[in-house]
Amino acid sequence: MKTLLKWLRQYFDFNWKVEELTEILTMAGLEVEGVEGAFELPETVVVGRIEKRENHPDADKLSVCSVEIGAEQPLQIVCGAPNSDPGLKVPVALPGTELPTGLKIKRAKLRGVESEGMMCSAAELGAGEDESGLLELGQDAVVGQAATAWLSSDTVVDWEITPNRPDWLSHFGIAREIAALARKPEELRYPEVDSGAPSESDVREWASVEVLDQSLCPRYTARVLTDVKIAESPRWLRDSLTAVGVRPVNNVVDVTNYVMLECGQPLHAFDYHKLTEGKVIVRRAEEGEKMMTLDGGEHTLTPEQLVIADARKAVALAGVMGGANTEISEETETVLLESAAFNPGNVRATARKLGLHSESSYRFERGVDWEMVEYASRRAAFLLQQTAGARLIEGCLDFYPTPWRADLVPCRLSRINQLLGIDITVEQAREYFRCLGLDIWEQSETALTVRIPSFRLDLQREADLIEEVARMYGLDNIPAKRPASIVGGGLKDDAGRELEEARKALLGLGLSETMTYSTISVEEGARAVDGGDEERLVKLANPISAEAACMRPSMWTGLLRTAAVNSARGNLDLGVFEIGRVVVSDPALPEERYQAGLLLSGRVHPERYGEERERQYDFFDLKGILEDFCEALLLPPPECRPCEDGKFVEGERAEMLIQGRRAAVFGRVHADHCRGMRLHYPLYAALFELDSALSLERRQKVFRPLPQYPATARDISMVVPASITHRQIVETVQETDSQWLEQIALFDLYEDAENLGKDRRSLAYSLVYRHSGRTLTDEEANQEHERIKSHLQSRLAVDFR
Amino acid sequence: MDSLVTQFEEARRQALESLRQAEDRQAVENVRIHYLGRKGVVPNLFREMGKVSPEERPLVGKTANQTKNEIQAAVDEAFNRLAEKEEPDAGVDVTMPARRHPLGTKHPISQVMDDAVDIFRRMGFIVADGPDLETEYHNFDALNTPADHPSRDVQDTFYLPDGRLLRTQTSPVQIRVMEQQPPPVRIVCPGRCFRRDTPDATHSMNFHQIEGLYVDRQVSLADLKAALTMFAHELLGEDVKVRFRPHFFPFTEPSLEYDFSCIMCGGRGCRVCKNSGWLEISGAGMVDPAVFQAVGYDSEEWSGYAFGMGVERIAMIRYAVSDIRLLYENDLRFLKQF
Ligand SMILES: [Zn+2]
Repeated sequence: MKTLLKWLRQYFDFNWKVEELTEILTMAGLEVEGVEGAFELPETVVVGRIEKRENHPDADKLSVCSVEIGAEQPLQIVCGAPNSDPGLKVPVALPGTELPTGLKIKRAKLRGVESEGMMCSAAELGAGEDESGLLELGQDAVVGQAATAWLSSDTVVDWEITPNRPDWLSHFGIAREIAALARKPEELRYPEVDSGAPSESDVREWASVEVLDQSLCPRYTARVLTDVKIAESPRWLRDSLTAVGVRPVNNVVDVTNYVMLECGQPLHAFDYHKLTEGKVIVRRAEEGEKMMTLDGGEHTLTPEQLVIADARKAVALAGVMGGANTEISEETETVLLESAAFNPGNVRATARKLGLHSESSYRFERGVDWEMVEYASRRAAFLLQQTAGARLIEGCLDFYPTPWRADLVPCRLSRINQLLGIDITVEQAREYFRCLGLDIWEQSETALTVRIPSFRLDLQREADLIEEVARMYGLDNIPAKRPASIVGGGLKDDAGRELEEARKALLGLGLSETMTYSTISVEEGARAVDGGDEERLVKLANPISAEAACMRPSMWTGLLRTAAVNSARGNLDLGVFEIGRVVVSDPALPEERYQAGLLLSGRVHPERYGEERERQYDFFDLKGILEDFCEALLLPPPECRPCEDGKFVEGERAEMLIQGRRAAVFGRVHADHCRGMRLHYPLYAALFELDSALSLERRQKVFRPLPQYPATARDISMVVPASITHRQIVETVQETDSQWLEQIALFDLYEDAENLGKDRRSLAYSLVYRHSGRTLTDEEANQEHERIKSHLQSRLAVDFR
Repeated sequence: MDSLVTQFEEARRQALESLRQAEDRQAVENVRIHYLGRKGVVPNLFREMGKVSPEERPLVGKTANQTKNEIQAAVDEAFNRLAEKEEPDAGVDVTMPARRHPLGTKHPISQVMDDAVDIFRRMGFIVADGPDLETEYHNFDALNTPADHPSRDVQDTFYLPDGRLLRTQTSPVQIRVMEQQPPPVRIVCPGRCFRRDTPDATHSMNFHQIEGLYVDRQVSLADLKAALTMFAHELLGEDVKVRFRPHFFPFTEPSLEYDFSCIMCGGRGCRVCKNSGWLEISGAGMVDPAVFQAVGYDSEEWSGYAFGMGVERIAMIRYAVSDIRLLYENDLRFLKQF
């Protein structure tokens, strides 16, 4: 909502500078979106009125003026401007002033004549380009006051209006708020109305109004004006509209727009002679009824939409836009002026359905002041008489069967003070309400009952009135009070901590955190979801684009998107993860669950040099990170086995089980999923089920006494068929139930097709033995070691070396 | 055959002599293995001890242990002696790149979220969580947002075919918590939200919010101001000023918006704050009685405040990130800066 400051001042005088005004209103909930054309002058530039002008005795181009500035004596000022006519009000810079342009004003003699200041042009004040003559301030400027206020009246402020305050959608409404905040509501001036000389005939002889659906149109007024001369509007009217961004059309249309911007009441002018039988019928449209609006749009209507019709046809979409068939034109001589109130929800539905949004619909959607309907019509009639030479037909057709009734809302002082944390008296509260135009219906020592005016549709409950007190008291003046008590418990679970732990663990393992969108394409979803089953995806009913049409069923898509973006930009060394929610539609699974996605690719340590720099991530780096992750989360030890998941390359894919439950799948990403990526290195990815893992019982940390006797180690070196896994070997060793075997660790792997054969490999293990109560002798260690070796040999096809 | 005692003493003498002559680490290590290794001279002599008569055993045992300990001490000393002798100019170029084990970097959104949650935890808030897929009831109705409110429009909200929606705010968690437990309540709910915005520099289909709710006897707007002021000071420093302006939200009354003084320019006005000196952070207010009614709290006995804040907005201010899309693009060169 744009307002011209000069226009606001018609209803209320305020001396605030632009910054003061915007600050005060911002802090009252009326936020500023922008300011145009504001500037500021020193206080010593005042409004002066030229009383007398005489020629300079010694210079042809100079004159000597006597200028009234509200002081005891007028000033004598020498001036060279061509327009220094007596009666003119101009800005006068007093001696001692430094203008924004840097010019310093001094008392001085000009060609022998004393000059006590300077009258200024716009350019001299830095207020514009114009240097052809003195800046004319207009006759309403008050002599002696600082000129800034009168100059800045061309300033336009754009306000952001919250939906609960339709009463701010007009100049008068905002002036009313300013008056309230200035605590001077009694100085508010209503727009001028005067019906002029009564006409011979009565409006009822000209027109009729019939409203068939009162719920959609609680009030409808019509006036008729004759002898209209369509022309360009006068300068002041055009300038006012242009300043706030409305294009002038002709005097009739401009007046309706002006009054809407002034009073907040949308008006519509019909060409009276195009209305069949002078009838106005407010009714629901017929199914399939057609209408062309002013903007040239053709619409097919339904009974949900309200129209204004004459005896034959629809002539306007109620509250939204007029029809082309009754539009004001050059030939219009008689005007029927509509001012009405329509149902907000219905106007909104119509505007949306037809994609027609206008200044009128905007205001009707938020609700207009029923009591303003007739006044605004009277105001427009007055202006039409002035600007279009119109004659007003006596009377007003006013359909208003159920007049507006003020609500009475009680408000307790104790509740005000408790909820706001302040301590005010009933008298203070009463004063706030008075300033806001809320009458007090009843008052006791502890409570007030307030009569809500018709322009404050938002005030319905005690809480709403308390908000008004907070605004008037000033949120800034409410003290900040430190929390008094700590509320414990209630919720058992502090939901955020475990996820934080998980994130910290992965960061500690050197992976960086990413965040990708929760919404992905259906195609991506189908590739990410287990079994590729599209039915398991949760799709949006109203997606914005195909790329964001369903919820991610796993972190897979995000990981691949991250790989794609980075590989395309040459970031080839990746170690990243994302923790977030995934969504599937599957009766066996929770709909939403937390998952961690891990992605590794490229070099492990690109920041190092030499051989260390060249080492690339492989399957076992990923496996290691997953195991460390489990360890960090105090999960029971995980186990890995091959899996069948087609997202990964066969032979380099596995699932990780914790206590028999699948906690993760991971491996080398299958080329089918890397199409279009500029990859130099293989991608390794893992999907880790956080929710299910975190629901397991965690390992308790309990101290085990440190060993007191030394351990002794023996090695086994063997050649085995490649089909025998590391795990089989370890498990076979463990089958011996050795009481002394403390640890078994692989320390060497040797694969050599030429010497060992293609499907054989050499493995070397170190076995550590320890007795908890004494030192083991060599003999004992040797015997135990041999026992284990022979067990191995009996179970597996191993050759010791 | 020499007595075992003599053999131990001889082994000691020879070992100490060899160590004296050893001129490098390898030589010392060879001596150690020769005498102390698993199949070395001293362990072999230990194995002989089984044959010694019981009367001699204490003396032999003592000599054996002394020998082993003295050789071990001489080996340690030889290593130290060699270490001292090593020439200083044979050292390393200390300016060479280090062998680092870099930590990963936390996403800026997480950093802000974790920091914010930490601050509120210290004020006694605990973290609550709710689903991304919400009912219209929890997201709108219970929050006093009527059916014809513009924010419920399909233009602005993602709906599912079953009529549910992707939550547009974290506020429904308030409702879920209040439905489950009687007052008092003091929670924060960090989480992901969704709006049907076309992505641009300041809009994203996904974003994060942190919601706060405190319901107790006698909670006032003064408490809310204190909590948010404390939050601003903890998060961005004591110099940050907080400003509260009246505003409108359906689920709070009074409603307000709060601004932080611009951390870029200290409130003097700059490009980031559009010369206003203030950065709009988000909304807050006293819980509307209609919301209490929806969850069955008695608004005469209890009062409360609620606030919400956009995490991306704070992250963008804190780290001077100008385009929200950078946060979801995951370019490693971006992520590594945090
Ligand atoms: Zn700034």
